[in-house]
Amino acid sequence: MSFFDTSRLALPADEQERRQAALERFAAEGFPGPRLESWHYSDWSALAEREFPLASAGAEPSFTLDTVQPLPLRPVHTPTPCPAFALDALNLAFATEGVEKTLQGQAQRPFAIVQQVTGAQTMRHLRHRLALDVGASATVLLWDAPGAGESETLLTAVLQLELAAGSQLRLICLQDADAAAIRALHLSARLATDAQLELIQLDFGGRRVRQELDIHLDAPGAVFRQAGLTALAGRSQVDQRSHVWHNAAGCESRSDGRLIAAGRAKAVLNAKVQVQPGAAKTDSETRIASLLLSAGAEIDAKPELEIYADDVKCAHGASFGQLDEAAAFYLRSRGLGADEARQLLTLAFAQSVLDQLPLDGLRAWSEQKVRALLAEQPA
Amino acid sequence: MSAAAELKPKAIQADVAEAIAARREYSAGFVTDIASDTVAPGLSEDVIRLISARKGEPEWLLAWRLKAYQNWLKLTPPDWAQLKVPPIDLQAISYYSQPKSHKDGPKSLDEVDPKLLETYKKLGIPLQEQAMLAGVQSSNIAMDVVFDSVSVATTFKAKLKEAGVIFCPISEAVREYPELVQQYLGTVVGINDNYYAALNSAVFTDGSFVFVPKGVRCPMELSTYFRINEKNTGQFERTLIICEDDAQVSYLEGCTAPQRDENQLHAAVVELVALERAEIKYSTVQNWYPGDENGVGGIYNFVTKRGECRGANSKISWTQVETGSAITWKYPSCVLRGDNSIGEFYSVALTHHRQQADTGTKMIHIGKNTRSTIVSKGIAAGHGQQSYRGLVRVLPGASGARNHTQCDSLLIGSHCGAHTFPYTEVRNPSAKLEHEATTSKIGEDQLFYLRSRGIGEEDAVSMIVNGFCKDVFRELPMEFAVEAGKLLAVSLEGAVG
Repeated sequence: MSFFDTSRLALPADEQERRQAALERFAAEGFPGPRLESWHYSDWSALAEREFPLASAGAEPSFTLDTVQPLPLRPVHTPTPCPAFALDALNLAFATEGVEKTLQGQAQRPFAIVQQVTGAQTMRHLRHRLALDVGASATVLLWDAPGAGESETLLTAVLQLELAAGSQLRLICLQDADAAAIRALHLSARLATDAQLELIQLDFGGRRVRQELDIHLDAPGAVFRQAGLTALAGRSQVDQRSHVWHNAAGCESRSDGRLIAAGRAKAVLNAKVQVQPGAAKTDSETRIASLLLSAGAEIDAKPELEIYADDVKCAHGASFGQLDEAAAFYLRSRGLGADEARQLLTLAFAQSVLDQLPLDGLRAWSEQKVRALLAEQPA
Repeated sequence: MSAAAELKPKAIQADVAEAIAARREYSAGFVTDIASDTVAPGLSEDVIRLISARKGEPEWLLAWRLKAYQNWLKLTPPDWAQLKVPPIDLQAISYYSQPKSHKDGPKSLDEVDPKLLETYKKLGIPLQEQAMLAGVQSSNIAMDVVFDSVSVATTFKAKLKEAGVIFCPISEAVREYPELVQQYLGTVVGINDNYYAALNSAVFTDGSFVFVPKGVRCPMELSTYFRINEKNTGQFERTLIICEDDAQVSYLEGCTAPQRDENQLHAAVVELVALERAEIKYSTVQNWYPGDENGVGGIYNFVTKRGECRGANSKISWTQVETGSAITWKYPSCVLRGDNSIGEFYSVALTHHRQQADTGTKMIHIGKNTRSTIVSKGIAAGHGQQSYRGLVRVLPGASGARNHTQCDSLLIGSHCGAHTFPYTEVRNPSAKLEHEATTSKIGEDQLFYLRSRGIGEEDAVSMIVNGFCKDVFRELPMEFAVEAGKLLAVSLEGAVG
């Protein structure tokens, strides 16, 4: 295991020690797989055989953005105590850069954090912390961008969010990594009184992608809204796990997940809402809708509820279906070609998520991504 | 049919004789006065050989049991359920218990031990069935009574035989119809399926066997009452139901258990096989002792139930009302292999005091145009913990598969918990699935309305709960539907106010 050598990072001794401990933890647990109940549908254990040298720190994105305000990556030197998840431990062992920022007031332009691995067969580990002051509001785009072409890369990222009372954050997580990319994202958020987190997730790429969300609604009035679109083709596998904790009374969570799988892709969504004792007047709703576009694709959905309080309103639903033949027939009778009709209906399925996007350019680009899904498999 | 006496193994081995001696000592602590034949506690290959020898089993079955035991040694108890299961000392359990009166071979119902009949009376077995036990053949329910582990009385056998239906204790089936048992036993729930199923395969003592031949519609509902009545005796029933082409059967299973302070393990296995166009309906009312309000005592109910729709156009329907047991771990499942086959699961599960239940179903869609329906109603009161765990899996070949799942939970009180864990796995683009789940407490307005009409709070709650469960109750055979409603009301006593 030559690449598990943290001494190459040239860090202070005490930090080196903490990182070494994290690395040992990761080495003991290894890459996760189905023997863990939370990894029921993905198996990364084969990755233990691969070698990924560390990408050089401080690499700038290979492109520029104009409508958004980039938040540059800075060195981070303060790892938190050793985390429970193996992939978090791996991140902690190697992450030396990330964004650390406290946002105040009303930000006009959206901020952007760009994550990219450009070196072939390399790995990169990022650690971000964003805090919103009381009453602040902002829009942040976290973009996992392509960059290494056809070669395999590994990126882990940890994003910690702290939302103070009354603050509002709209976070757009755009994952458009290369077809061979391996990606692990762990997002955890703590929301204070009346804070609002609106999360829009778009997943279009990656060979193996794992996303973990831990959202803690810690004080009354906290609101979490989530809209997610996973649209996959080829051999992409995206496995999302979210855990929303209603820790206080009177909080709200709404989640709308849309999964589309074409080719031999696999989409997994495990969305759990947990209502802790005392969290009365909880209002929670989770919806998962799935569309399988080809015979080789697979979608696994698991919306969970764990409830320890009685005065609550919690619902979840999951559905699987296909494009409506009657609707396709109608469109064709109006002069549209078969492919165009299918594209339009697929787009309509994704629309409830795309409509949430605040950036026009991003929305148009995402629509193209969804339309392109059908390109590789004619009706 | 041979008399019981003739069915005994020709030579009882020395170790069996020893075991019988051990049993005599052990019988001192029995709660009922029926002197039982009980093997000393503990599990080993020798115990399995002894059980097999006592039952006069053929060599292949002993070999099968021993293989299951070897498998079991490699398995670990499942830990993924939302349950807190105290460690169970399987070496403290006695694996064989037989009411002594059986040794004398009751040849007719009149010879059934009156003490046994008395126990049933106390447990509230309907009068109609008591009459049947006494030999009054006016009703249309046949019953294979299991008292502890050995069936001691079977009714209506002749009438069923006339129709060609075989309904007997599985140990008898092993002797009388060995080819049938060998052909089907363990083909739905294999010997290494899971920890408790493997254990059951190794040590099962009795249970029911039903065989409905081609084209026969079973002339009556079949019913078995299971009871645990002996301290420290785990029950390991094995039920096997086979419906050949175009055959139909409805099977009722109900259980009550006398109050005990010690936890008792119940690890049954039920296997159903439906061939072409066959239909099996399996209904359960489960009311094992749930433990007291502090969670002391109660039955551990770790059951593996699975049905396989092997033939095209076949149907298997599970209906269950689970109000008892300290811990329930149970997922009656359907493997929909035949094209156009149908699987159904209707469940009401109630947990009160410190009861825990992790129950649900699995629907595996393999054949084309297979359909499944799941309706699950969970009620949690007191400190009860209630989980629905269900799997709907659509395999690549199951084009046109259809599933509808509805699971609702009702919470009564602020210390209970209700959880939902539905797994859906789809690998065919033409499948249509819907899953809906809601969790809420009893509507204040509904309660207020009923109270304002002069109905007491407890009755009002019971009424609302009954309405909540209606979708499931109407799937039950009439006798059970009445019993189930009463059971819920009794089980919820003290949940409000």
